Amino acid sequence: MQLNPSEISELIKKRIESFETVAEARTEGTIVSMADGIVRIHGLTEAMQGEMIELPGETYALALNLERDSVGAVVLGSDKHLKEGDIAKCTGKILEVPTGDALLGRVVDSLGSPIDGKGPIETTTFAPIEKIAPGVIERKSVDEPVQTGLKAIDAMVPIGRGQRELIIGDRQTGKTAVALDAIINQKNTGVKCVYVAIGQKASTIANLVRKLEEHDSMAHTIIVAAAASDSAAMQYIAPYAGCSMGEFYRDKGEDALIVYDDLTKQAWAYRQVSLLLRRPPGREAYPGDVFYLHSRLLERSAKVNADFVEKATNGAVKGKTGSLTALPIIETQDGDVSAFVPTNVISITDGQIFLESDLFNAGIRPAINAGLSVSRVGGAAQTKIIKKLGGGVRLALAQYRELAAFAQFASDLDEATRAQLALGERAVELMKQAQYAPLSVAAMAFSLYAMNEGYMNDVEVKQVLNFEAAMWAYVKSNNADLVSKIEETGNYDKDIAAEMKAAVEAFKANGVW
Amino acid sequence: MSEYTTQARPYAKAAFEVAHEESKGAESKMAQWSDALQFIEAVVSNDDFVAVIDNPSMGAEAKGEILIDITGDKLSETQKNFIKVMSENNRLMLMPEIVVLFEAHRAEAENTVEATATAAYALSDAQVQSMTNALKKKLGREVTLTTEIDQSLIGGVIIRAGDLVIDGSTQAKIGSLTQAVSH
Repeated sequence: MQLNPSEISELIKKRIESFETVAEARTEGTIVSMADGIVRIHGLTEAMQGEMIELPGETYALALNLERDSVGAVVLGSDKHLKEGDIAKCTGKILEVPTGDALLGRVVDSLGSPIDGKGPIETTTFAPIEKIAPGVIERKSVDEPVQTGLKAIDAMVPIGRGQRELIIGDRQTGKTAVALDAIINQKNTGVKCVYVAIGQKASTIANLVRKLEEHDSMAHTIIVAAAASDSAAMQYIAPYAGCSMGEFYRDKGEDALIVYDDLTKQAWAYRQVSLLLRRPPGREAYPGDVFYLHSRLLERSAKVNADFVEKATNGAVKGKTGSLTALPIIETQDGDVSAFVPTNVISITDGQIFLESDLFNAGIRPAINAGLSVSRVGGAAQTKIIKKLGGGVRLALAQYRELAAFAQFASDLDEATRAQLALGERAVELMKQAQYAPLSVAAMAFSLYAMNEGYMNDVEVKQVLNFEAAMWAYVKSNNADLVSKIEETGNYDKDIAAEMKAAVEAFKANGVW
Repeated sequence: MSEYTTQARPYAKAAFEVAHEESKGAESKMAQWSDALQFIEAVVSNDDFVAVIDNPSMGAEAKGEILIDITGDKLSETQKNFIKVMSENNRLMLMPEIVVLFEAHRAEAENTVEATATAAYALSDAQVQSMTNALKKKLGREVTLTTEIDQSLIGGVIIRAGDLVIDGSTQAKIGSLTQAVSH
């Protein structure tokens, strides 16, 4: 950022003018012990749970344990300069982060301070990181889709606005890739995205930001980064900070999508903080409230009704519903979904996308296990045309899985079984999709239609994706009206079916693949 | 430190309750108890006596006897018993915390609070009086205000009453202005 000297003095003058000098009554305490980022403070009789505590050197701590004679707090940031006997002051404030449009396109830490070197964030709105989720009366059922642009997800495990859909799988199964494609596909849809990176390598985060920039998707995205080198406290609060930034859009009647990548590492960070605070360890050494850790976070993702939005904006926005969709990510160890944290998060969320290394290594990418992946509420929100056409894929895949195992031993199969296997093979092939190449609703509809109606039966399995690409290119240039009609309404009726049939048949007659 | 406070709490409470019982008669024994406890604390904190407490070859009761010998003529019978109980449980080193807690109990019972006002320059009697009145109103207690001078404050005054700190010093204002400008 370039500034000339007069601007700087102007800036400083403004700051000085707006500076208020009021003698405030605050309670003080002294640091009695200090280890591993945890300070124990004697005194501070009026500290609140979750309050910011001011330490020397412009450092803050978060009060987590309020005990009879002392307060246990985690230092946010570096603790190198702190020592026994230092003064700690109450601030009377719960930890807050900046919110608003100024954060879009930026990379911030868990406290909302920019870390991308693009200068300060000019925003006047702040929100506490811990908020109570909207109640039953304030909610509305999920009825609009979030298009991820991935055929396998939009057709088989649809996600609705306000839903919490878990992405779960071992390392290296493409969990982040799925979430990233979903973010890229929100470009020009008005859905704002928040990506919370917890405990990842700083280089991985930098790569991700570059990828989003390459696909022109940073303009609608906020990145909250708590890298592996940041303190456990920062990793623990990062999802809550990101959630508050997403809630800003939900509460003013807009739609937002938040990705927590990943909550396993956040649970680890919280376990570290809890053990250092000497809270009793429970299963897998996690503290007793690790379920609440995730449930209170994920409950904040919701679709809220117009009354709630009107109240939240003091009547400025009327008749609009807001939503915050969450895609939490959980990394399993060796496919063990029955470990503590995965079972917790599976039970909290409205469904899961299960990714498997075997599928990934077999070249089926995204490596979605269609049998174990479910969406408990997304069906109600699915676009009509995809709902109508996508049902066939799920069925074909289910029947194929059953037959495939059996067919390995049988030498001669009857005609119906062979047809079933052929369809299944093509369905598996069709569900493959390249990274960073999300598809529109119409493109997906045509692919599903062609498969359902048997237009792909005479296409070699290896050629299915080529066929799909060629067909879409053909249809897009020759049937633009039909494509835009599908994109706009998402409806499926006899007329559209007839038009699609004509378009696909024309391609099969004239096109090459 | 906080563990010591936890351990000292029942002793301080017991001592306070005994003192409270004894004060029900004609004259208050509170001040005498305060003095006695402070005296014991001074002895216990003495380097030579710390060596006695830390001496492993000496029995717990013997340590109590030595302490009573030193302080004997200034203590009442119940206070001597208090020392005996403490030494039997090896808790003599908790005396500093006990004194603090005892004084807190006493202030609570007598509805008083001790406050210090630190100023850059000597305060006039009228200033001290008006501060005392303001504090009395704020805290709802009788206030004993002592004053200190610290020129590094540059101007203004800091009032401390227990954990509560009212910082109206120029030094603090400059500090927060520095923060406001640098962010």
